[in-house]
Amino acid sequence: MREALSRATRTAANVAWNAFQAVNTRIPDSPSVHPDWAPGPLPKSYERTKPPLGWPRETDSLCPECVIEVRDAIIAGERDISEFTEKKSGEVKAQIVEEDGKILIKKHCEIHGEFVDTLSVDPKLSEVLERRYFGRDFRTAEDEHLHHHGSSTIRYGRGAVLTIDLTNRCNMMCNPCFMDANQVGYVHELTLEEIKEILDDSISFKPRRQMSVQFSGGEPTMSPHFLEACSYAKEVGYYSVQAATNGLRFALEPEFAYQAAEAGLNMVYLQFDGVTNESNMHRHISNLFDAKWMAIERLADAGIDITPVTTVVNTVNDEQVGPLLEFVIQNSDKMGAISFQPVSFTGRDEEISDEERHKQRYTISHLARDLQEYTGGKVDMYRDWYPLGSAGAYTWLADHLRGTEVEFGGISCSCHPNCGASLMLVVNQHTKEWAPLTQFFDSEGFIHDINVITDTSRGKKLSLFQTMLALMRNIDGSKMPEGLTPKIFLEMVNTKLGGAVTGEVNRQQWKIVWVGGMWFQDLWTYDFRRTEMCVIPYATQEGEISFCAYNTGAGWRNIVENMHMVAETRDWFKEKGRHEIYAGNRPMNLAPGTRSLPVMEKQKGIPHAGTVQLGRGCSH
Amino acid sequence: MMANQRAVEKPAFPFGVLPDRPGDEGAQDDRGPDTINRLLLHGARYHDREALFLQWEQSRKGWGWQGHPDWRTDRNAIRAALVLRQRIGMEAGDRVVLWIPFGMDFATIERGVWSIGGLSVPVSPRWSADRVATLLHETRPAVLFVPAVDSLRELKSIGGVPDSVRATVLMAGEVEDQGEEALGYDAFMDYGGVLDTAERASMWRTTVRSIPPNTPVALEYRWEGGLKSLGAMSQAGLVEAAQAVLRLLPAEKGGLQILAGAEPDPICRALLYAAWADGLTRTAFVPPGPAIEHTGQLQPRLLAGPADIVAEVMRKLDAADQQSGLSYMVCLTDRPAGEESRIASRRPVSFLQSSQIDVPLREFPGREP
Ligand code: SF4
Ligand SMILES: [Zn+2]
Repeated sequence: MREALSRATRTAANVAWNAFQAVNTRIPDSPSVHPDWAPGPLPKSYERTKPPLGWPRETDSLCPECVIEVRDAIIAGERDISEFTEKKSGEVKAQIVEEDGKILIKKHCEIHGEFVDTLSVDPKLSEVLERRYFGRDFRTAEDEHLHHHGSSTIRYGRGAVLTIDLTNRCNMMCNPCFMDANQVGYVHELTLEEIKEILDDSISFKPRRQMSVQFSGGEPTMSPHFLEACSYAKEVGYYSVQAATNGLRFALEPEFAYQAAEAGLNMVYLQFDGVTNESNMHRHISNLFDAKWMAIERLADAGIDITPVTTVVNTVNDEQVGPLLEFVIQNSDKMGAISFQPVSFTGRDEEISDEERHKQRYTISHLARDLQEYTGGKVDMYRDWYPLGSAGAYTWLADHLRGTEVEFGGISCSCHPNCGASLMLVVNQHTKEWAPLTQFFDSEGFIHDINVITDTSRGKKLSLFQTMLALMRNIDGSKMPEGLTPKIFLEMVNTKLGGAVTGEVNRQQWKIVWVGGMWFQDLWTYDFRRTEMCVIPYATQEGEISFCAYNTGAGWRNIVENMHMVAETRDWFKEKGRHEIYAGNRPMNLAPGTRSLPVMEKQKGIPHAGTVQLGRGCSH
Repeated sequence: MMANQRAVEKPAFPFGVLPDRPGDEGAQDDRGPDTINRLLLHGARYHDREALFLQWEQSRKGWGWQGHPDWRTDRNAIRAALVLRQRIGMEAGDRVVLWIPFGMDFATIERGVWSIGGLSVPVSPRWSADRVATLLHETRPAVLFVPAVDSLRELKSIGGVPDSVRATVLMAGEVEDQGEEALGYDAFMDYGGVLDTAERASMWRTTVRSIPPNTPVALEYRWEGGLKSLGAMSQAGLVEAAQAVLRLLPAEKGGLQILAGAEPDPICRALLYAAWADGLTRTAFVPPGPAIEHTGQLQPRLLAGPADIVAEVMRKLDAADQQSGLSYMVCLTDRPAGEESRIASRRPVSFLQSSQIDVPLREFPGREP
């Protein structure tokens, strides 16, 4: 019965779609809308650009050794910053090739010889992901004041998550951590004025983005300006304010989550290594998992979304990925996403031996394979994984439907298909019933239809009509999990699009859970075609820099922090006072402190529309 | 509905019978909220993001009435408390003279002082340096807040700063050439910021709850006909007065009171804390000066302050069309009962007598309190 009904709906939608398109596609395309926030009209599919894909291909990369020499010389003051901003110091060509069932990146330096690393252990998956890539966002315009970092300059797009390090201080002592003030010996911390300036600047060019901002560090909640920063980001117009945190402050101070929610914090990326105290042992707090759990409860109670972030290292914690997925599904009432981050060897890890590196290398393809295995094939790696950059399609559609008089463009995650991939699940928060969304929804087909709708560009009403048909003809109701109906699903999609279809957002028992794989680069996998279209700009006192170029590659982090450090760690503590640091494998005192300041009611509000979740917690 | 905004129920009054929300067990102990700080912790649950204080300020979007939410006053009070205790070494029973305008900063600092067992000594910014010097020598404060460099200079020139003063904080202006012990207000708060950690904030909340309601928290000076009198105010006394205000003027979601040109006297504080603690009423601070011009945009249910400034604000309210027909209550803080006749409005106003909000003060004998 259910099957027959679903087939009938699809057939009807198909007939209507085909009939409509028979006429629609014969008439010349109407001009695209040109929203106020954009540097030009929204491009048609044939105007959108893509980076060179496929293999074999050549790209620009770095010699892992040359670049460190140049970086160190700049920090020591022996060489000038123009080595990176004007010259191409440390750069070499790289070949991306398929060999022995793997995709490899190979490069040769005149001085330091050959370098090889693995980009994928499943060429078929790589091919699928590249095929599903939607295309780049706008080229940026009038942005020289923020983007001036030589080969590392960001040239495309509005970005999805603007990352700002508030401080490099931390209340933990993970070993080794290349950001922690206690370990690097200096404090780098932004003043409130600097934070405001950075946030103001970030919307000063086109495409003007309504993106999310992520406060990071160090531990961002250690910054005395954390709450004010959240509040100001909201004032500027950021629709999602996020923090990458170890969660301790939320566990230790019952009021903090409520105050943060009031100040505007929407989501935390919670550093999360595993689902037991044992799997968190290497962070040197014996009851760290208990603390995380306490933080999760308080954050959820205050209405803040939680995305656990796990760095996955092959042969170290790769067997945790399945249990972590399970954990998120079981706690889907509290969290709507999980971000797996295949290891990138940065900071002190840049000194890793070749042998160790090959052993520990983990890629998106490893992740897809491991989850397929763990779920017994319920997640199909070729059917269910999409590049992060395919989400751009939904943004184009939403931007198109919203029309011209909008102040900001939607969040656009249009990063390079090698940067990351994701998988969507639908989960029933009560019964924990779940299924991959693409089990019953042909996302690729829908994206194809989006192209038709936005290319022909027939005004809001007709576009909406087509969108509905496109949704209906790509849903296979008979493959939906028990209890989910096409109607509920359509409401969920509308919510994800920020209400772009009906103008309303709905909350259901069912929710979409995002499972992301964000693969940050390192010196061995580095590809300038990726950084130039980076969607995770790092906003600093020296402009906005691709996350990867900041933390590895040229290593702008070291350069910026050295230029702007505020004090040696020792002196800083002497002058400003010490704070607690939890280390030494002792348990934290997690007195079940009652809340004396319950500032908010438990929030049953609206999920943040159209969030594309990226970013990372402190993962080192 | 905006994300992060929550539904607010109207709490029942008086405070002693405020219901706890489910899950808030222990937020309030058996004795009920009989100190100001406990009252505020309690009221905090009803505030929403924008509420609490309004001040005429410049923001990204230009000048306007800016709302200050609860978390900000809470965090700032913690900062103030931590700096006073941990940097300046203030102890319970120490006095802090606040020679600054009555506004959000005043309220924040005073709350910080009370929360660590200190006594505040509010001083009207209109008082002369001579008068302040007398008071300083009598109260021998540990910390002194002054409006600006000039006032401090003047005070110093007449030997008005006693040696008990360990730190002086300037609310505005340059700190240079005031000697080591003068600190700008931003630097003062900044110091507290780095101390404001999870552990210290939790400890602070415990301390706050441990201060007995009947200990004096403020010394109130009055000058009438050249004669000076001194009384001590306790938190219990102030809570009583705040409750009286709330019986006369029940809390109302979104309700607004304007404190115009208000002095830091007990009446104004009772009005302030009543609103702050009920969690529903906002307080707009309107100092004498340009902010008065913009009061027409506000829709108060209470307007309080000295008669001349109140009259000025009323003219603005009268001129603003949206106000017509709305009635509100007026409290003249510098006039005894029966002297309201000179105040006239196009609108129905009723009067709240300062004697109706009586903050009990205990006598302070002798020179050395
Ligand atoms: S951070 Fe790195 S991996 Fe992510 S989008 Fe930017 S360049 Fe790609
Ligand atoms: Zn080299």
